[in-house]
Amino acid sequence: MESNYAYLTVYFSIIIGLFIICYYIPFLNRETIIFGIRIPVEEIKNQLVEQLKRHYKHTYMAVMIPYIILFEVASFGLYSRLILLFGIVLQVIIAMYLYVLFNHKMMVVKNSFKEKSQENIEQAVFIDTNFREGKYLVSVAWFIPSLIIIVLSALIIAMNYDKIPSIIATRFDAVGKAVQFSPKTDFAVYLMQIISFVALAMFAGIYYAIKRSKQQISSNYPEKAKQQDRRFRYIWSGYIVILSFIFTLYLAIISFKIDQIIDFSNSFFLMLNVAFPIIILFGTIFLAIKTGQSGSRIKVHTNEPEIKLKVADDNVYWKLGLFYYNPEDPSLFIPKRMGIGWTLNFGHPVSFILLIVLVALPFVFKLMGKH
Amino acid sequence: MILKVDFVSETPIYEQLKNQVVEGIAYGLLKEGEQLPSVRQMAVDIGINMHTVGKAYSILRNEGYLIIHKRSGVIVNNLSKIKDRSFLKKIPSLMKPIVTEAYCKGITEEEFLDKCKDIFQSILKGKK
Repeated sequence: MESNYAYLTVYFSIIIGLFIICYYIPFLNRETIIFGIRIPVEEIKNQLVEQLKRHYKHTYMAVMIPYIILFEVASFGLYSRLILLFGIVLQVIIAMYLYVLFNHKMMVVKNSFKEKSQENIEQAVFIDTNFREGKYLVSVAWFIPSLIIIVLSALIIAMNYDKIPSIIATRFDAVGKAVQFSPKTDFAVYLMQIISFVALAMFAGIYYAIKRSKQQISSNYPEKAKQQDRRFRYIWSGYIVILSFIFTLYLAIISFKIDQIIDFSNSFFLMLNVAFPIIILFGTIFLAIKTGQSGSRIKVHTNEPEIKLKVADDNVYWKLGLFYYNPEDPSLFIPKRMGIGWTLNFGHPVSFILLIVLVALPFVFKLMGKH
Repeated sequence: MILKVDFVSETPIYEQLKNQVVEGIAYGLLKEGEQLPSVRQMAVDIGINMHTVGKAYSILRNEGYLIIHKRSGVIVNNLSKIKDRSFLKKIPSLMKPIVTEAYCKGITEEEFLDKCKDIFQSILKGKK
């Protein structure tokens, strides 16, 4: 029963967290990008745009609140993880559908601007040749503590290898009661270290994406945008490093539990399973709302004069405002158009290889576990 | 230095890049020894084919503005090494289209030279 309460606490945190972040997502990007559509800077205060934003907020509330209440009432008393997971997935799908809908509406509004701004035909971008000069990311060396934890925990397990029983638990409920077992194989014993290592590689990949992805300074105040973008990258690279550390630590603790090296109390295990996901969830939401996409919400003061720039219309490359497809662009990682962070350029052949690897990974682990 | 790339300009993109780097060096916005982004990084930032950036860089290297090392990347050459008096010989052919166009449009010799002077002066002003 305690375990069910723990799941429900995490579950409701996710529902509320998603509800908050999905509400904010369309407003986290630069003010010239509305619902994933780039509009001319002189149109950002346009009445139609303001109207559409209000319309979105009302629609979001009118759809999401009844949905959440209805789903909770319908699933009340059913502690099936599958049903709860389905509820979360459905919530995300509804939010995505709303974005796509408003992305489409915004495109119609944007096309109505066209006739007005014909006089100065220019489709340009700014780049700063010094954008990557100096410190704009935390040092990559901060991944070393995570690596040390992986190696150290593997060593501790290796030293206690003989004491590990011949049947080990591989899955626990929230309070730490074993629910699934496996015979003692090297793979089962070191599984958490293997997962940690793969996760570390993934975090390092995100770090690399933060470092290399396209600079976002094309605006009437490029210096300001540059400073915002650089701070944004600094903050999120730091967050990725911390996340990697927390995750590695968590898996190391789990591995000690699996291999029965340390016997954790139920309350400790419960706290771990409830506190970690909630802290990470709300930490991420807090950072996302604080920084905005590419640092658009970070306060920066520059005394630069305004430079008029008609930013190149890249809307055609953003399918549904969500997926970037531009085979001419050598970028693999690209700042998201809606939401926070980076996405793939699906016009780049490597993006599909990466996608396949990410999807296949869990299955590979499952298969390896069977042999 | 901030570079601007216009995708619908009549001037090809590689030429826009080349012209702006030369301008940057003339006005002192790019200092000697200063590093420029790699071909790949610049292409990623602008969102264009790498060959376009490569073309601009190789012209700039051939004309002595840049040094391209495999290791240390793209660097602005020493200003003394960029200097090349033989460029004077190329000026008539480079200027001819502009001067003839100016003539046809009714610009006088004096007016034309004034405009040239203004540009030279603005460069020199930045130096002192």
